[in-house]
Amino acid sequence: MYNNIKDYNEIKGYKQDELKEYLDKLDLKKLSDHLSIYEVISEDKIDDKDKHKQILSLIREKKEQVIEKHIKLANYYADNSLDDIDEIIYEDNEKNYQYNLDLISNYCDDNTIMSRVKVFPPKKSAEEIMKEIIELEIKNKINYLMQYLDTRYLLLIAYKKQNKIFGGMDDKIKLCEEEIEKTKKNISELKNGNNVINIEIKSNEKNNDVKKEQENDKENSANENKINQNELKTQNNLENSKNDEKINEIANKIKESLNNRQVNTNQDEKNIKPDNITSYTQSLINSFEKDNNMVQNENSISNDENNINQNENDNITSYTNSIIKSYCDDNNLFYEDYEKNKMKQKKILNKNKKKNIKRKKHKKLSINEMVDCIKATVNFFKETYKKRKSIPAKVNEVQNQENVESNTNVENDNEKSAGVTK
Amino acid sequence: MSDKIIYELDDGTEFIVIEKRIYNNNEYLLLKDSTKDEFIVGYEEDNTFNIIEKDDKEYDEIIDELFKEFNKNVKKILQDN
Repeated sequence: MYNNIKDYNEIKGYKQDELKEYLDKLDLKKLSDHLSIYEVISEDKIDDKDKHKQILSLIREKKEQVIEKHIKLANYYADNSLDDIDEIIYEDNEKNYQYNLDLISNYCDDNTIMSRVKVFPPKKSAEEIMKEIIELEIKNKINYLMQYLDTRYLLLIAYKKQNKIFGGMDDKIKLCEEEIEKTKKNISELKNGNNVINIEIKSNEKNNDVKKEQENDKENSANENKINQNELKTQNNLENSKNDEKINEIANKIKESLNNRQVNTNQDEKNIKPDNITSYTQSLINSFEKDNNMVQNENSISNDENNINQNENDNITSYTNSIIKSYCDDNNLFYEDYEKNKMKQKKILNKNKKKNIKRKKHKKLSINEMVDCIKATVNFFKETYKKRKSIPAKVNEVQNQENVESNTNVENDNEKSAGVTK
Repeated sequence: MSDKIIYELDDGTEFIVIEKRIYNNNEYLLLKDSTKDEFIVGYEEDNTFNIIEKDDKEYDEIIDELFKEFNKNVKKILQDN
């Protein structure tokens, strides 16, 4: 209450222009707060009723303007599917999108505005919006799963390549080839499963899919047992078995989340969030490296060979990159996803290019220092545009401007001129 | 004489704020290393300076905006001094 009165007194003290300027800077929430203070303030606290009315009307007017802006924005987002909006995050300006999203979340809290949004409620029911959210969730999870499988597949190929180099590991190579084939099959099944999932959401036919999943589990389990009996004897095989369990686990969780059709994520769903998959993939890479060291010991490879092997490990990344392309070409299914994920990763990397600001201070630059700064800046722009091979006319304008100033300065004294390119 | 803001970063480097430009709800800055002719572009957020690299897709766009602003201000700066 104290703060309300404080706000009230603060606003009351403004002149009309100042008040307009002040209100221009406020968001909807703050404007609503001010309005509610002005609407409920007791009469005994109002010393100038005319001014009070004037302020009240000004706040209402500003609030209306902000509301209109929000409604326009809300309708824009309502016209686009969530999928499109998801694209905007990466394709458009991320920062700008976040800002708009904040605005929307603000207006969504205000029922009075919600009721005035013409497009949102009639065009899309809550159920429809929920479905879109669920579909998005699935899509993301499938993508992460694909990413995981890609990684596994690439590791196996890298492993195969390395063993070929050192020879004498035919049985392991054969095993890898089988694993690769199996992984490919899993990916293909999951991809088909995704289509089934989408149909399911619309038709509510859950049971068939559950049965199909159970059958698949049995089949996978049988295959696993068979392989375990015959070939999965080494540490590497145990690792692969764990991988399969993980794949099945993720697949089951996706199906489960679909069948439940719940938007709110539970703890199990959280377990298959991207961070966990990333760390899991990392552990897979670690196991892979560890396993390869073990292979070296088993075969008593000489120190020289060990060094070569280390170099080979370093080259695996570039090798796997080339594999990705051929793999994507062969399958033609995940190339876009892979590229998209790469873009997302790049965005994340870019976000890390940060430098902490220790402190900010003011400094008076001398004329010479300032002229040097301007010269360097013009050179910077010139170089930048030269690299882009499209020098806008304005570069020359600045240069001319600088030269004019430079000439003037030279005439006035013999200090360094502000001209850049004499 | 001209009053400039200097950013001192965690690694001890000092950058002079050469130009500012509000664009897409961000205030983008062009900073120059105080000891050499090296520049960085970016924006400040939560007491960190987010650098926009040359290969970022918005880099060219922001350079254009900063250049427009610089173009507008440079004459005034020189006249005032």
